[in-house]
Amino acid sequence: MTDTLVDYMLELNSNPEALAQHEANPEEAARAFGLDESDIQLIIDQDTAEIERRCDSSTTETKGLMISFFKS
Amino acid sequence: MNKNGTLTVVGTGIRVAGDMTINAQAQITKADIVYTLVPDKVSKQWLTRLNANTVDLTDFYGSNKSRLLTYHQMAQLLIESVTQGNNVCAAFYGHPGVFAYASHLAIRQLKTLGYRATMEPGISAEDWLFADLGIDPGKSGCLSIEATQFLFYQRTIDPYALLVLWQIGLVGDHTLSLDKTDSYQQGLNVLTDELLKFYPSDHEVIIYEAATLALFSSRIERVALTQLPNVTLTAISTLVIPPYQEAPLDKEILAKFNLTAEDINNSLAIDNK
Repeated sequence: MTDTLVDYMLELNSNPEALAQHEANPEEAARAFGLDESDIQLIIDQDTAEIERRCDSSTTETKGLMISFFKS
Repeated sequence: MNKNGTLTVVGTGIRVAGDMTINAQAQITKADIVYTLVPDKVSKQWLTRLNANTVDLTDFYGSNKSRLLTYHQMAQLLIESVTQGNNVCAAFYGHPGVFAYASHLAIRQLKTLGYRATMEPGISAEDWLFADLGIDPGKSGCLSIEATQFLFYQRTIDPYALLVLWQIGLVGDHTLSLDKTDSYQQGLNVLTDELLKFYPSDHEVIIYEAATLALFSSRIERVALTQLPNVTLTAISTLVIPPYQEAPLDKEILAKFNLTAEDINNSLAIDNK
């Protein structure tokens, strides 16, 4: 089951026109994409922390990162 | 003649979906099986959309487990899948050959065994760094190095060149097993002391973090070098140290070309173009 908010992030990442529409009117663009009201509120509030949590994109944990070694 | 079974390693870029090359996308789509090493749900959802038969390599990570072992296990899984006759695609975030031990290891070993194993480049955090900061590494030259390696080994600082220190949020860690970036303070203090031997205390340095979502901006935090120990770092923080000043001309070398400093300056003057 896919998360529509995550799909919206993918759309913004890959479609410059969608990103421009979002930047012009975030609420209208999010609604047109089909986000539900609670997710639209996240966009309106610019709730970065919650959006990152939903996208599972923590930057303080090293899991999933290709951390290199210190050895030369 | 190569044996049946292939490995193609591709990069997803930093901003997933938008950064991915057409070729990388095609390799993912046509593969028998796709092994993914990406740090977030957005990337995973995108890759699963391209090919439903994906295996998440992040399951190999473990608490207090050395990443060296983790990466060897990842490489071993890729090798086993190829030797079973699969056309395998491994999709790593960023550039799959930059700060990527497992991909190089798997390719090297598969080639030794007689299998076809290749890598396609991807857009790395360094590529985004140059774009976001408006820095051309060709202008002054660039030393780009993992922060702890820079500290632990005897390396030469060139204050006339750009210095990029990666994984600053883990600086000073020798365990290779940290789960979180909460142990960098001592390393950051030592690093700052070392840098202050070569740069003035008010030299501006930059903490950079590439945005993975177009919705957000990259982190570009400029501080004086002396304030570096006070910054908050994450696992994706990079320290960028611009050149201190322009390198002086080497007049002895110029003389061997029968050139003077004036000749060089005239060549670089836009009025002459």
